[in-house]
Amino acid sequence: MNETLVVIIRSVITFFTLLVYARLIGKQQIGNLTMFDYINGITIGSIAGTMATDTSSKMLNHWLALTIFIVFTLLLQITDIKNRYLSKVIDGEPVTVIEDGKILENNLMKSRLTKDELMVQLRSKNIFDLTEVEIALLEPDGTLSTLRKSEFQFVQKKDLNIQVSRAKLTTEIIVDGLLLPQNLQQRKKDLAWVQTQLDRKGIKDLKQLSYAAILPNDTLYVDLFDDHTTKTNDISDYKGPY
Amino acid sequence: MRKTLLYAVPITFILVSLTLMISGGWLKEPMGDQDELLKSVQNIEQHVKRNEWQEAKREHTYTKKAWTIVSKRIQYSVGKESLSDVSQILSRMEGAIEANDANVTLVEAYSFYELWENLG
Repeated sequence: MNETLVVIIRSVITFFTLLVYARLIGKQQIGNLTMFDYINGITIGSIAGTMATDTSSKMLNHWLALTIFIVFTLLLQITDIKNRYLSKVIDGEPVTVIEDGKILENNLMKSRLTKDELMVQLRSKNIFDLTEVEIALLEPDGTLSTLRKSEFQFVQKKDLNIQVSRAKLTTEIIVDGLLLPQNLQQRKKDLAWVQTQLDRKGIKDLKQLSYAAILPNDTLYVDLFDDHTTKTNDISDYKGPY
Repeated sequence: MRKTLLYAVPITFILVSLTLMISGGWLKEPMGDQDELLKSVQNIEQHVKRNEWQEAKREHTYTKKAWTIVSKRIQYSVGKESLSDVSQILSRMEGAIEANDANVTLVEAYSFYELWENLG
């Protein structure tokens, strides 16, 4: 048995199998990690690791275990969407831990969250005074969502009746000297418009551009490959190389 | 075209890997006249029963060569332990033939049959 070759083949299969399975599971796994998701992810990783390197047993057994974990994860995701009750049973519910500035000790105890941990979470949300909190919910993924009392909420532009233009995205139109026509169309611009903008900035060739994007205010942002930076902002302490 | 490829490539990959993983069952079967492993062990059994030790020795040399060919084919789908078990059985069988010990040779031959059945 050529064990090195077998490990190479197994690793290639495991790598791409994980890639396919990760795409099947989708983005929910990363964005909304409950305790179960976290443990499930670690288990899947562990099975994959064994599948690649443990040549003492058949690869098929590990592959089956991996597939079963992924299938059940998918089934749970579908159940979450289709059945609200089961979704609550599986993922749990948000728990109110602060109401009208008062800590709800019973709920805190049920969530097994200490007051110190609660304070850490509040501080990470720039809340240093409990009395500012109208309500705080501990989400199933362990994060804290807070609503400040009306008098402590930030002033919005609409509160001051300030006229605002519609919010837009920044749309990238040139990356590494290559024009992205689809993005240009999205912002209803054409090549002639780009050329005019570049001429104004004294740029002759698209290939000089590392990155260009249309900003929300319809102006063109450009970044050249040649940055002409000075050493003023160099924060390195040693000459290097590192 | 792109959408078809988006589904076709991963599905093909999964199918090909699955085929490789379950291929041991049929890759262990002979594909020519150099790798008839099961038949050669059966021949050894017959030779030993008839006390034809020279023939048994010759047959065992063929068996070892056949196993080298077969093990290379099935190494991706069979665990290292199973491969090692077969190698050990064949080595013990070689020793038993060398010692003209019919009992041990037959014990190893029947151990081989059991292992062969579950290989792959």
